[in-house]
Amino acid sequence: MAELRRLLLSPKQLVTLLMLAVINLALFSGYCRNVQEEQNTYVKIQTKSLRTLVQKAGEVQQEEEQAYVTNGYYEYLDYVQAQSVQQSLLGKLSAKGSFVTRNLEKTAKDYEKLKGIQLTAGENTGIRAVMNYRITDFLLLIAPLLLVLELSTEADSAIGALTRTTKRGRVPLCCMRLLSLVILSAAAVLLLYGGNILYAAKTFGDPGLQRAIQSVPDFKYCTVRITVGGYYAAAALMKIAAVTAVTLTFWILFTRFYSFLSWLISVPLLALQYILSTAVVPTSAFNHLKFINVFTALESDVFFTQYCNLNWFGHPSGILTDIVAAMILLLVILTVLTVILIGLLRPVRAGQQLEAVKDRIVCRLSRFMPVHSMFGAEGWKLLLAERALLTAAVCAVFGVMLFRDIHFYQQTVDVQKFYTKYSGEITQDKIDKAQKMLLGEEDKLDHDSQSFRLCMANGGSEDMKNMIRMHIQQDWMYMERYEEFLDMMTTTREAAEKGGFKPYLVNDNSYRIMITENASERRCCMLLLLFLIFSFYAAGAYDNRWDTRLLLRSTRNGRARMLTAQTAWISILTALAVTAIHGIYLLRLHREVGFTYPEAMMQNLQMFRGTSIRITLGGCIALLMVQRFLAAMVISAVIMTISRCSRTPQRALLISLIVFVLPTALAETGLSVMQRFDLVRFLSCCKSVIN
Amino acid sequence: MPNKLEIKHLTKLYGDFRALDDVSFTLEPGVTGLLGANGAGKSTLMKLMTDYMKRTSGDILWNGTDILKMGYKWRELVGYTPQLQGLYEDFSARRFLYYMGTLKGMKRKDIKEQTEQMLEAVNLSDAAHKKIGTFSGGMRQRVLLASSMLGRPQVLILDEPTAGLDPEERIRIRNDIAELARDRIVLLATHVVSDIACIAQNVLLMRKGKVIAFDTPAGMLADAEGKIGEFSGTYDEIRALQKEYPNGEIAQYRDGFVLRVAEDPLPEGCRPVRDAITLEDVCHLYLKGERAYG
Repeated sequence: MAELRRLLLSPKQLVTLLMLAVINLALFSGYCRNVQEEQNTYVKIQTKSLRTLVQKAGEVQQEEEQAYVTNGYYEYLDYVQAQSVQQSLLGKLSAKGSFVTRNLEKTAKDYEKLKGIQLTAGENTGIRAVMNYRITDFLLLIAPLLLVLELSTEADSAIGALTRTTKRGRVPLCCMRLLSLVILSAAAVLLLYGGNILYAAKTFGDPGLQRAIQSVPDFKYCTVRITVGGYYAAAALMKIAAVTAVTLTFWILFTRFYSFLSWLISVPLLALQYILSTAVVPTSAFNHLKFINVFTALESDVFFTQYCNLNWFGHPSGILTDIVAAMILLLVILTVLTVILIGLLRPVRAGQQLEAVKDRIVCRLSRFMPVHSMFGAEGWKLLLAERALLTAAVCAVFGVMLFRDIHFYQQTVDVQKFYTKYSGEITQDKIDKAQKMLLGEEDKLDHDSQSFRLCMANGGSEDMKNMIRMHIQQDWMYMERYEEFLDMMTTTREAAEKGGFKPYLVNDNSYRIMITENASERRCCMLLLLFLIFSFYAAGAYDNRWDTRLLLRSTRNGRARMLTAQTAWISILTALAVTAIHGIYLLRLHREVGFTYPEAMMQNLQMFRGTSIRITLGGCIALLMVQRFLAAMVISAVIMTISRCSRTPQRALLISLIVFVLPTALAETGLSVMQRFDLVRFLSCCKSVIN
Repeated sequence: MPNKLEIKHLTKLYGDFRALDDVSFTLEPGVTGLLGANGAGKSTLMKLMTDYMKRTSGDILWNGTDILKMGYKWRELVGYTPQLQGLYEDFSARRFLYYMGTLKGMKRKDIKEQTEQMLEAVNLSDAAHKKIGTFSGGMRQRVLLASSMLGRPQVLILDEPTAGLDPEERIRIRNDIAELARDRIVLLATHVVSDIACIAQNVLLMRKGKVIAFDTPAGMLADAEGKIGEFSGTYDEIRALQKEYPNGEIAQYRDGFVLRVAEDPLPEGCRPVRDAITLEDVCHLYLKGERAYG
């Protein structure tokens, strides 16, 4: 028990878990906001536009969900049964007792069990959000793996030798540590995955835990009779098993092999598992490798959203049964191996020869090691020794995942058409043309009104009346819109005459998105904030960690020059991160929506008319980027100061996370008191451009 | 004219506690051994000399100029080995020395040349590519020593440089320091009194933040004459006597046990030691009751 307490209740462990939960919540809440925005935008298009197709498509989607629950799913069940009968006739052609025949029989039998299942419509968005959000799966591995690395380091130290000389220092101690790892894995899953479930429920509404999981269209192919709550519990259990399996594998490798060999085995092993889980097609002959896979188990949803039987020597077996059996077997084997290899046997490590080979290579290479300048040396320290480069690589991966989710919504086609025709320098000719267009719309309205009156008088059909009514509504809307545009053109021209700049009609959609705080922008800022914290938390504390500062300060360049070099590197990395993250965001925005007429003065846009600075729209983008860089620099400087005052990098990281991420995560959850401490808002600088 | 480092009325207060109290002495080329019990103020003195911390009052003058006014020019002249092994454990020994060379403002060519020389001198050439975190205490100490000697500084401030070294290494390093000290100032704090006895031209004894003696080893030994004596007797008799003289050191000779004491005047019945007085005895005499030096 003492070991359990030492490993699990240490402040370091608790804070690590808490911080992981905070980071996860901050990222997940951003994702949920994105989902919410997508939903809202979709609804807006439905209500504002009178285009029947769009309106109907939305209605169809809603109706489809309802129809699926009331009728569609049951039809699907019947369809499966009918298909199985049909295919069994074909199956008779194939050899009796073959996998194909057995698979057809099993499929029919599996779906047979679902007859009479009661589906209930409910809020499915939250369930989908939890299911589709993948970053949590990777975050789950962090705390247990950190503990494993700590345990393997401890095994090499004097304390490792000391504990093994005591009565309960071998197998009992190993069992306790194993239990700690299982508990830690479970705690991580409950805290992070459970946090996601709760947050999604709060954001999107009660998912209806008692509903059959088949009520969610994504789980149409699930053949297990399980409720939504049951699915959550089963997924959590599967995640715990997967995290424990990865953790135990790492523990065995890192305790029985030298570090180089351990990394050489573990990293490719994990990478291979991940590649197999994502790259193998579910229907391929090698689908065993996809489904009997630790990463697929970590994702866990596949086993509930897909129906597939694996071929085991001609016998079909459901993927869910297979993964459960495989995980139990794997965990039993790993547990026995752990007890024998770590608890029972003497701590001898393998791979010394490989280590010696590596040493020889490194020794030869180290003679050609470049001697850096002060700037180069500090860069080397920050990028490699303090692992900012690794952070950048991880952030790049997260960035790719993030940008995949980002979508910008276009204006309706008529608005786009108007801007294509009339945007650019506002001339009298253009105004006249727009006026003509308005008159045309007025004529159209008269014509349609006349048609409606005629239709009424002649007793036209209801359909005809409805169609003309809709045309009239559309005419009204277009007329109003063209009046607005015309008004915009004339007021812009007046403002330009007054302000002394060239009048331009510019489509403001991209500029509006750029300066509006939206979920995608917030997620970019959150990524930037995490990058800054994880890259710079050691800049300063690294020198305090082994009391090196005392020595450094006794040297010629160990004070101001060193600080200057560090600051220069931090500025460069901050600038690169701001340019990369916000730059890619703006480029995507430009590609999908388009920044038009960057040479026009920003006062041409209604939203910037009150702004006192006189710059072009292109300048406005540049100004925003500069502001964002400065905001990021302020945060980098504070992180660096925290780091310089901290005894160890870990402490600096912890303080930085508490200072920056915690309030932001709380603000993200909607806590109004925390809004003013929202660092993401500070980093995005959206509001400052207008002011 | 030889270089001169003058410490004048140096005082350092930590709140009300006087870590250094009006310390004055002058260092000239050669090794000066610094001895004192734990908390005597040795490390504080060294930190002030490297301008790591702010002094409360007094002056530290290099050839007549205050080191604070000299700024980085003073640090260019100093090589320092701190008591705590402040090394980057993630760095290899070679990388660390390159880094220190850069911090010392050396030229790239000199850094490469001198790093290999120093690694050779401290017998670390074979392990130079390995991470310092994997080094033993002795190896780390040697890395620190090598780093302090990089750039051939005029003043070497060594805080227990031979701690953790095996006897053979210690002798080698000691000789290297003696060799280096021929044309530079070396201030060497150590708890191994024999190191100082072998190579120091001067010895500085400190107690509770004050300098209590500053002389050559020969002068100190002469001064201690008549104040070092021995009691002879059986083991039980000697044990009983030790209760009276707790700082006395028990030794076993061929003809029995003796208790060696350093007292002024010597107590009755105590036979004065004439020829075999050591620097260790001098320390016993001056630093009575304060066990650990260095």
